[in-house]
Amino acid sequence: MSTFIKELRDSIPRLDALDKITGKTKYLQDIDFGDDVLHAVTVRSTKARAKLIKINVPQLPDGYYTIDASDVPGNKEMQMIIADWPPFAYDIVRFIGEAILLVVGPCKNKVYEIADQITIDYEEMTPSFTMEDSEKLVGGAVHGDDNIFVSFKAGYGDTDNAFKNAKQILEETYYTPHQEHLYMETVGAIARIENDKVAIYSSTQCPFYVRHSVAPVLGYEDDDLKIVAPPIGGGFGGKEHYSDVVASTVAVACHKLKKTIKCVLDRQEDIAFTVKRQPAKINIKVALDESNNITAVDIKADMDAGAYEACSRVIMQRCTYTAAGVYNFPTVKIFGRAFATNKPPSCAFRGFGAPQAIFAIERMMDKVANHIGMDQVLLRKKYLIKQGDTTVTGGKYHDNIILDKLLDKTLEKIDYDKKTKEYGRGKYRGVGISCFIHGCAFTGSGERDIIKSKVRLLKENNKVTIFTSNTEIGQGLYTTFIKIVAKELGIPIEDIDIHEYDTTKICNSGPTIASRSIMIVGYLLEGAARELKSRWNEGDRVEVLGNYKHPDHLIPWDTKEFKGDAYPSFGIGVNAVEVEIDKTTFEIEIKDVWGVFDCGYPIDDLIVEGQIKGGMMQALGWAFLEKIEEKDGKFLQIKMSDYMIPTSLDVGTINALTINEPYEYGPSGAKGLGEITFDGAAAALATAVDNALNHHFNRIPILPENIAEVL
Amino acid sequence: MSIKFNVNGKDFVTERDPLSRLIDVLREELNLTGTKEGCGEGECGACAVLLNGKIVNSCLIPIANVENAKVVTIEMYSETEKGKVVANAFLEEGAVQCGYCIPGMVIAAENILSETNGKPTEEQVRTGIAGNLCRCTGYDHIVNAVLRASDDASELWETK
Repeated sequence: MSTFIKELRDSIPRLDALDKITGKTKYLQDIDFGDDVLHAVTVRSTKARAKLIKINVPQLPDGYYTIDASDVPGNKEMQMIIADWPPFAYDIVRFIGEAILLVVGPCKNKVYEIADQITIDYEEMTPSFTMEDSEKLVGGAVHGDDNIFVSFKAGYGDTDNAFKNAKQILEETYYTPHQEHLYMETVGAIARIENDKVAIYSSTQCPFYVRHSVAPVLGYEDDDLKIVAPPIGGGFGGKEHYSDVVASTVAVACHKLKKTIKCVLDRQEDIAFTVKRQPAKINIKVALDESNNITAVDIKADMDAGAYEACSRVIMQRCTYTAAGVYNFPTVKIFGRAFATNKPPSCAFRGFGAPQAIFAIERMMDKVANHIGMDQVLLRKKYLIKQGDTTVTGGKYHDNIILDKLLDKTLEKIDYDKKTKEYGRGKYRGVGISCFIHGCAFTGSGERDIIKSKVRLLKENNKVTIFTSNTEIGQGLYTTFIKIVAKELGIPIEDIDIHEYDTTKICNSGPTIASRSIMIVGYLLEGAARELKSRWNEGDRVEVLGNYKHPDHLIPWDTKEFKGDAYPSFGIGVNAVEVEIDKTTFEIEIKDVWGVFDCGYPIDDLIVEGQIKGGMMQALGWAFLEKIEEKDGKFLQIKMSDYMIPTSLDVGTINALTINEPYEYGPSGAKGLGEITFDGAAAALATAVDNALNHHFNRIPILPENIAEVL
Repeated sequence: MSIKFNVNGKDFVTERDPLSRLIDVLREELNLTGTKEGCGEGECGACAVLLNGKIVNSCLIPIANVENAKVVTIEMYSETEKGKVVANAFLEEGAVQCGYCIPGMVIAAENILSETNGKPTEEQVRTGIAGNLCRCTGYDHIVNAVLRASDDASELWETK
């Protein structure tokens, strides 16, 4: 069969789907090397903060081993953005669940049995569980001397003067909780000896991140370490850096024992001890003049980063740069800080600091609108950013920001005017709207100075192989990359494949994060395919390399002052949620949901629709279902039966639409989409509930017990 | 003690502890890795198989309970005429993202179609997959896929 691609947006059956449907796809756990595998189980800290005094291991049967920090041949810490997180704790443990040692052996049940018999002697220290404790340095600093991993400022204009002259000042603090990724496949890794060196098979979104983190732990140069990323069963950011942790521990065991070591977390372990979305506390003050115009906005965003930095540096940047939302306020001041606490590290999760920021500013816009007696949408329209406006980092919105178009379409679809009139406020039904943008790709000059993406196309005997490091994590990249190349070359998709994600064979086109794969790497592939087409007849074997070029029109990013274009372009979205509150059960019934987005150009309509529906569903789960409590550094919901993600019955249909403004430097005009789908639904839902109950909710999730308190 | 049962049309005997989980026997002894483990506590449905034609979560079933029973996994179901109709519907409707829940979803789809004579309503489909968690899709495309399988060949599930 020959399938030619005429219009990229015309959907084709996903090229990875049939193997997944029929159970043929080999995820990490399904791979059988034919080796004698030793299973690894992690023994973890039961203390949130303590000196590690002694590990007591019982007499081990033949063929069973323990591996701990003393076995690490290289650096004691993994090389993430900074090197602070040890794969095996030594001297001090900093959160409950931190890995201390592995037990490995041929029988998994026996390994668990031994792990249960191991005891650890600790000398307890005073932990810091909250951002307030952290700021007060309770028990002494967990990180550095002030417990602040990073802090960032942004804004423009003289807010102090505006607040001094304000007629009224409104203030509110918003809280968003941890969120568990709950990818269906738990994190795992297998390490084995290949060519006398350790090679790692990892359930990861970012094979080169694993390599960079783990190589120094083994005392290897990056190029000496082979990482293979098999198809993964969901990531959402949870397999951006946490994969490094599991990979490091099995790599050290493999290095010592020269045997194949497999570690796959069980579900409770994965929920209880792996990374989560950063909880945020965002305080916003708004100054109004005598005509109820907003004259200044002052935002303080604090995030709970947990015990180690992981991605928090960049998450905090994105949160800070997103905090003023989609509004061109006359003056703005933003200050963001990420605090160290004695809890599992927070890390990447779809949206990456933006959803927290958007929740807060969108809720604040409602508070202001309600206070001054103005329609919530009309207030937003008054301040919407447009092309040519200045960003909070002194950059510029270079492209057409079609928020007004998306907003009008959303209002029409949800029938906003009629419903808001009919429902009023406090009559148990409500509609909520949220408006937002999401900077695509790495923050600042990351794409140019750090990632420097490379791609490679190889034509051999009229078949083309794509070499990239951007993995298929469910977002459809295997299909969309092949479509982009097929369309440009004018050859059937059946003649194109993507090389297996083996770091010794592929090009480093960067990690699979930050809504960058299509816009940055897809664009490189489109260009490389164009070149390959022009050189097609040079021989049986033709190779084309593509290297990232930073668009010339961007305002250069100043890495000292954090000024300039923080992002090359922005995805744009408007969400609407309609709810009805059950007066007897206090449950939120979702009646209608709309997500309208500008993703530049949809590479495949059905894939884009799937991203919108899935991302919005996760955000709605965060907003009204996914209760997660913590007590003394422990999460209380650690089973799938306690941590409730949406089922097929909780939300119903999510309506997805795109209206697109092509981006000059994306393939066929495409921009990022993966994360913006998460950004706005929580705010829209909270507004809808707010309108239904005439009560301003300043935190999520909004659960029946919270509604009961209001009623 | 040995336990005998039929997996995908073939008789099979295992010497494992009778309390061993069916999923482990399928994956580890028979290398039938299409059946996935998502939670190990019967909440997510990724490990669903057909036991004497009915859907069960294989992580909750001790093999002692399957003595002399017939187990069908995704590998065998995919080869059947019904399985091919369902697979095509999942393909065409874009129901697959990361894919980890999908073998279990397909088994759930079979269960829904067989219990409704091949003609489920949307509500019946949503209820029928409520025991199968998916974190990627938001479910709509999966619901559409089951309804499409019904549209394409409901007669396959009609009982006379």
